[in-house]
Amino acid sequence: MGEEKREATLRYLRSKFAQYYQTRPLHLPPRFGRREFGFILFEGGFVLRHLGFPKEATLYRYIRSKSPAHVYHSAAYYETPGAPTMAEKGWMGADLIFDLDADHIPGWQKMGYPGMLEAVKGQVIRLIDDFLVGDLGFREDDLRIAFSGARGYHIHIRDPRVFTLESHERREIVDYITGTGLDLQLVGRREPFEERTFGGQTRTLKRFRIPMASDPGWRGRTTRGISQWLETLSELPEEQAIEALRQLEGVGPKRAQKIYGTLQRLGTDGTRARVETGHLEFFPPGSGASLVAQGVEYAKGATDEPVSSDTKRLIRLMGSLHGKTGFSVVPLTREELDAFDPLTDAVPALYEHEKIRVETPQAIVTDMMGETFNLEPGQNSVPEYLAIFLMCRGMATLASGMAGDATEGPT
Amino acid sequence: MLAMYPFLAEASRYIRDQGLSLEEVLDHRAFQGARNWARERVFTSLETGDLPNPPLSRSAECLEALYAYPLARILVSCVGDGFLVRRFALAEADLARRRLSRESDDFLLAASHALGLDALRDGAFRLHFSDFLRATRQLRGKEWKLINQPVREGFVLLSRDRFLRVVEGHLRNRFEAELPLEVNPTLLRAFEEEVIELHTALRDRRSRLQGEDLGTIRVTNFPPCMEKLLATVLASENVSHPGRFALVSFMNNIGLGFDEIYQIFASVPDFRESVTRYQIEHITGQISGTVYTAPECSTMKSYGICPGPDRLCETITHPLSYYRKKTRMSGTAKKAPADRPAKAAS
Ligand code: SF4
Repeated sequence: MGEEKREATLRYLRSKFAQYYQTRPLHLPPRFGRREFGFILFEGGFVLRHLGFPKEATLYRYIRSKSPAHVYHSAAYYETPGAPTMAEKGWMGADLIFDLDADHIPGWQKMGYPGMLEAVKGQVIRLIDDFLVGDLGFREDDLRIAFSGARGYHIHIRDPRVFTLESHERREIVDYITGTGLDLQLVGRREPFEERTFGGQTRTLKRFRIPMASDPGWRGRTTRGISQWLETLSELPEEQAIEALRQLEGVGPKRAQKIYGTLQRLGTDGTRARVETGHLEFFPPGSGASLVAQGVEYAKGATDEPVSSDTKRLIRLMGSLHGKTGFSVVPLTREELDAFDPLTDAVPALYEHEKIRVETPQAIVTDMMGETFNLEPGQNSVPEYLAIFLMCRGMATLASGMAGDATEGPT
Repeated sequence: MLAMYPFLAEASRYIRDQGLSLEEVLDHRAFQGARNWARERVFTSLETGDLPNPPLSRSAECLEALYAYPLARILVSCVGDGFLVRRFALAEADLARRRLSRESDDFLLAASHALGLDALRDGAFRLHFSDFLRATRQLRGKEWKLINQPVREGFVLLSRDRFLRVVEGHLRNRFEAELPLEVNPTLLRAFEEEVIELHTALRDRRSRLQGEDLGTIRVTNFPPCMEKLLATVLASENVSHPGRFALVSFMNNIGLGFDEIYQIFASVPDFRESVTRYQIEHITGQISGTVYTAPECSTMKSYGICPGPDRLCETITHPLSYYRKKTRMSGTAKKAPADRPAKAAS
């Protein structure tokens, strides 16, 4: 790729970003005067950080003059956010942040962009509904959700009770969500249920019991996980279901067949009623532990550990643009999240439908704004919003002769 | 009542309302008892950690107890030693728990509110998980992990006993964070004798633990990583899980048995949690029969517990080889002391 074309492409993007920031699109975090800000420019190089902005106007002036590719702020509040070292900043507390990216989804590489965005959204919804609002009891008002602008979502928790949690304690929350360090004794154990005496010898019969589905915390959660697993299992074709059952410890082909028969006989409701009241008698006692492991696997959530435990990390500013996609970092309520489609809803209104010419070295198939685009290698005329996405991704350059079309923003 | 819980805001308000400065109290003959008591408290917290809990019946006793608390804190602050602060915080929090354990549920709940905890009671005690996390910061057993708690709507359900332990943890954190207080020359002078005594006691204690010989084992031959881990444990600061594992397995590998290792750790204030008996049993093979080998240098580095190699480190890849090499070298060093590897660098 020619240096000149690259230059022209960057100029185009910079001026588009500058135009965008003229519309006052930013959603500043509360207490933003106490936050550190950071930027990455299109020219590359280091993160410009250790910057503080006492007023909204100064921040806008800075952003408009630099037209940065990425804008971040600290999750933390500082006495002096602009101080050059962490020690001098004086940490006062930090929002609790969760970051869920497509690469936490098993098999994401094979999903394609729209597929992975959908899958990650499902995980985010579960993270919020089951864990953050569910078990941890945060109110929706204390929770800000944002599309990250690329492949995932961020959740900012602004409940003052969590501000002063330190790294170790934040990691405990992550462990809670990801099912790490669970004491398996708590969620299932063999217990005696009957004594039998044969010819003077007493034998204690044991069975595997799991907690009630309504028990608080991971006890109930694991049971619900087992129940959900069995439910999906009963919807599979017989062969696959039996194959899955055979993965359990102590379950051979005959046993699997028998369990499958029992599950069918009990039906979904019958199975659920038993499992959710702690009964697993239709499984051999030896398989209990592996069933519990299945349940945990099914019930656990996902989130990126380092992002949550690092109390000094920078996070993308809501309403800013992501320089690797051109999408905006869209703030969302839990309700808005359900219908949110990044490939349409994160495209700034400012980007035109008018076509511009770009050069794409490789063939590209992609969806955007409800349309599928099929681009051959070479020169292509595409709507500006797609051109911006491709140029930001580094998959396209502005075709020569186009550079003059963009009006240079203030520098 | 206030005399039993002198850390409550009400108690300090009461003292403030008396209008006596601490300097005056220290000078005053009438407060000699409180002063003795304060002294007693600090020394006991350093030695056994088991503070006496006498019944307070006469009002004079109550008054003394009430004043003993701030005086003890001043004394600890005059010494200004981190280890003493932690011992003192631990002992005071432990005493508070023992006292609270005799109170009614209502009182316990009210006290936890006065301490700023977001707690409720309906059958069991319930504590907001953020307070639970902060208060159990120093408790590292899996029974204190958040994931193993019954959490519902943001609150952790706790039995009365566990709730008391959590309140204790909260108090311990608070005492540690508050101390040392600022002290002025008048106070320093008033406690001059005690401060000297405490410094001596602290020094004795350290040299006892860091003495050349641990039986047949020489701590001076430890590689920097293990030396540092041991020092950290002995200073009763938190050591990461991999760090504890590395240290215990290392000590086991160089010939210390379960009992000896246990004894070393038992001298740490919050031994209960910092390295559990179970962990030592496990690592030394008491439970499963598997004896673990200490991790090699590259692993130590990736855990971030290699404090940066010294010169001898550059010739080895395993902390155990360091120890063996150095033991051999110091054996010959008796004849030629100049051969001793330069330890002064660290
Ligand atoms: S190099 Fe090896 S022996 Fe030396 S301090 Fe690091 S881990 Fe320990």
